Amino acid sequence: MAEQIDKIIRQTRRYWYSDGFTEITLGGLFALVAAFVFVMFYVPPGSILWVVFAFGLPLLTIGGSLLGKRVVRGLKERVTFPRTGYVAYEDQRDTSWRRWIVPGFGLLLVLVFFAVDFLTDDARIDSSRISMALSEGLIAGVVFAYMGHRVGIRRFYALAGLSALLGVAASLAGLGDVLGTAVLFTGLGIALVVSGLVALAAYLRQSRTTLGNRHDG
Amino acid sequence: MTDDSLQTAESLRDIVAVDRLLHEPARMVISAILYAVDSADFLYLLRETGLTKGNLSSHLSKLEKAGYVAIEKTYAGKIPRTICRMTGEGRTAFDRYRDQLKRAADSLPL
Repeated sequence: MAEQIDKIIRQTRRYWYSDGFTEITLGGLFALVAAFVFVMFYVPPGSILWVVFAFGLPLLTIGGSLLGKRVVRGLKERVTFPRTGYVAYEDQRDTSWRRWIVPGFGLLLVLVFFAVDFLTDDARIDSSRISMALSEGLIAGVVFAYMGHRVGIRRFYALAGLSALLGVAASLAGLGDVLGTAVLFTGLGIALVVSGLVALAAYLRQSRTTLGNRHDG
Repeated sequence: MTDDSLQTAESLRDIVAVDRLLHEPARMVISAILYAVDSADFLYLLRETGLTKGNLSSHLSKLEKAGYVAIEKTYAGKIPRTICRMTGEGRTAFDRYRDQLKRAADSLPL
């Protein structure tokens, strides 16, 4: 019975990800950051434009994460809740520290980007030994693996593995830190959007609209 | 009395003292769902529990009467939405209920 309760709790937490909207939005954000980093690659380091981009990246990450949450919520209000019911989680309360997990994760990746860039540029660390794309790929992999473990969704483990693989591949390809990061984020963005679309298609197939059947108890 | 028999006696007391309001299968499922979230609406509970509307409504009323669940009627646009939320008292009772179940299960001989 106690195990059954744990199973119900995990299943209820999983509901948030059942429609794939979170992954699609997160994938879009990754792609946006990748495009931003690609542009940075062509801007001369140390120039005013580079500084603008450098300050703009954390702002884009945090702002995009917060906006993304609103987008996900809006999509759920239109598509998910009328079909299979409304659920609000504790981390959606304004007072909870959990609401900062996604922006914090994005910011962490950006900080790693700058930290590694700073260290390798100054030759404090041999850039062949530490790669930005590898670090970011592994961090993203750990985060996806944690999410998979917490809510019991297998496709997150696949994303974790893919993230680590992309990090290793971008690092081994010797693309350099900025281009490597852009390639990693592009790959992750595409993988997330595809994974989200597959989940959405499965969700729409399995659920049926209950709009005309919403009588309350 | 040996330590083992004392432990068994304590576990038996746990089982006897279990919260019967939560121990009913349908209410246990409803409580477990509401425990995992901040709030959920009637439609979600209906789909997840597989209960009929009348049955679900009746179980929710019992939980509400005990102070374990708070029910609020709102609107999502023009569509009525009944939001159910587990209260602090409900969470404490559910935590205690889970502990009792775990202790009882652990004390069973293999």
